[in-house]
Amino acid sequence: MIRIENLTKKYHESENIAVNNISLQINKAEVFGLLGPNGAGKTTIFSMLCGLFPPTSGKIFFDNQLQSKNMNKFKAITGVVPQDIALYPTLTGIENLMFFGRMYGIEEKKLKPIIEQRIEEFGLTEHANKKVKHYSGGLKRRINIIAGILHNPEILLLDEPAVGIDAHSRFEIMELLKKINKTGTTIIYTSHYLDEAEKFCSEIAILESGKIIAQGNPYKLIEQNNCKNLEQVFFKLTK
Amino acid sequence: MKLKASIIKEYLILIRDIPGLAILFIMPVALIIVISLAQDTTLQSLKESQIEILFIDNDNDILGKTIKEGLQSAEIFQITEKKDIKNYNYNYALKKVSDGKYKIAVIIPAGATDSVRNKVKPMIAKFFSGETPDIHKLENSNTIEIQILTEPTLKQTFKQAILSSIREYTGKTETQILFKLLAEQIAEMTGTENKTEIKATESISFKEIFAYEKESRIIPNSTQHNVPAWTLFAMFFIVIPISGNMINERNDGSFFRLRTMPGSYFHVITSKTIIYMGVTMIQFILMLLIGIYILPLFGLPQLKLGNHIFALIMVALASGFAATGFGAAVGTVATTHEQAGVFGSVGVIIMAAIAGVWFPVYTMPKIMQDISIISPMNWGLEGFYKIFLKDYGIIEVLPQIASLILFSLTLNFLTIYYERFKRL
Repeated sequence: MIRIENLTKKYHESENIAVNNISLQINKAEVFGLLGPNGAGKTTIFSMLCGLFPPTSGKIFFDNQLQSKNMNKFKAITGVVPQDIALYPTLTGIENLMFFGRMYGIEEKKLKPIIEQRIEEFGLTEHANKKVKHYSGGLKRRINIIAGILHNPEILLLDEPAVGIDAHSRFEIMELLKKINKTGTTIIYTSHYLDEAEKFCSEIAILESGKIIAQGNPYKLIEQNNCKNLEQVFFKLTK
Repeated sequence: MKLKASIIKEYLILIRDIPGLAILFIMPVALIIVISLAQDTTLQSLKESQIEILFIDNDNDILGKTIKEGLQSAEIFQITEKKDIKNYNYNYALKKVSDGKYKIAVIIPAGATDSVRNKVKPMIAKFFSGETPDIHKLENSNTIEIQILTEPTLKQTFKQAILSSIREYTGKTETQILFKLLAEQIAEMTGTENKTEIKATESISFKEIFAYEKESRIIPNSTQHNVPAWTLFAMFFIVIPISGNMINERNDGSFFRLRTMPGSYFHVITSKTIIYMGVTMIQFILMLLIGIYILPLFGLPQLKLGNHIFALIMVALASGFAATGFGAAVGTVATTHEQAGVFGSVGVIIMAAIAGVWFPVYTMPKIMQDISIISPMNWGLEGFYKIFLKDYGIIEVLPQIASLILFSLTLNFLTIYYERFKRL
């Protein structure tokens, strides 16, 4: 589905290499976790996958097509849920979703039922017509996710989708994401919640200083490293 | 579809920013009214305001009458005439002027016209008897004295204006009397009846021309200047809400999401341009209505739109396009509200000053007049002047329209380039 070959990124203003010659293969309907301490290069890889900026060198392919040559096509089949809330605070939940849905090119007739369905699934029915600036953190997170999945993307890029919200809301959000994955959507996911990643991801890559230091199924990695959980693996492998 | 979606979104964001909208409309309305009133007062003190003159005409003959009519025709004096010599004399005038009741008093002495006649008569008699009149002797004989009392604080320019007027009309009266007596003498010599009514008419006329190299050779009144000038200022001040909107969009992350979606920055810029151009058009219409209906309530001249409404709309649209282009450029380059606020507002104020918004270009030194052409607000102002003052049409304002559109297109191109290649 997605193939990353020798991906490297060096920012103009930095001496360090943010992502250093990384290669990955992410299969269809997989939940792939990018884990690592701060500054490991997770967000840089995420941004290059989103098409926000080009790599310094290396290539990204989706379905054997070069991303840089088919950027709009790639963006059209990709949903992005950024770590920070990416919504218009003075618009209502519905208005935000209508706008982003239209920007994905969803027909007006189809868009309204999709939004109604998603709003119901995510438990936002009574808040849908309120302005986003009046939402709680959990509600904002939910709308933030819906905005990225309105167009039923084949690939869903999630950057810390449940950060900063209470455990109850986090559990609900992760359950909804699992449901989305079951429909065949490939998910690429970054998180600091290692227990969450352990349960959610079918494959992970642990990054440090822009390089992959471990990759595989989380339970296999736990077993290989003689640890009890992914957190122990993480502490064992990273500084 | 995407453009429509962006326009709807921009519209919703805009109409919910009540303080921002209020500034966009209240600020120019206040500026137009206040500055027009202030500039009108200045102009009036220079040109149009009427100075009260106490005019004591003890002559009751042609000279007094001609001087009075002359002063009246200058349209800058409000004349109060007194005629009774017993009550209205030098002492009366001195008291009234020193009390501040009048700025100036003019006293025409009794028999002034007769004195002129008596001065001219012997000269004509000598002329027809074949003798050469002694001009110097005549000049020094029977000199009449017109007294002019002025308030000490009165500007020198006004004193000069009155003295010039009086000299002019005294001279005219002398000429009139001279011609009349000459005609009478000729009639007597030829034995015919003198039916000639001689009036001192001007064989040389004067035309006031606005000494300014550009098109606007007619001096705009305060309304004709301030309405378009402050409308342009308000239009360009849209830099603040546009740049604020763009920075908010980046700060609240929605712009990040937009960049991950299929489409281009073109949609973002175009939708903002369309919506904010709509705002500039509403500003423009509002300002015109202020010029037509509100300013006259303050005693200011009414704005006349002229006969070329299409040209007017096109200049307004081009100005709005230029203003939104500038706003989008500032919003793209600035990273914080502080940067955008300072750069945007200072930029607009400097552009306005250069363009002749604060003070009309023709009042500026030559070097500033030359520099003024670099400001897009000056192009807009020139376009409006052409329509309001010269009644020009679309063809004549095409250079201004083209310049404004080109300015905006260039900025939009650079903005898209900057966003695409520098920020990413």
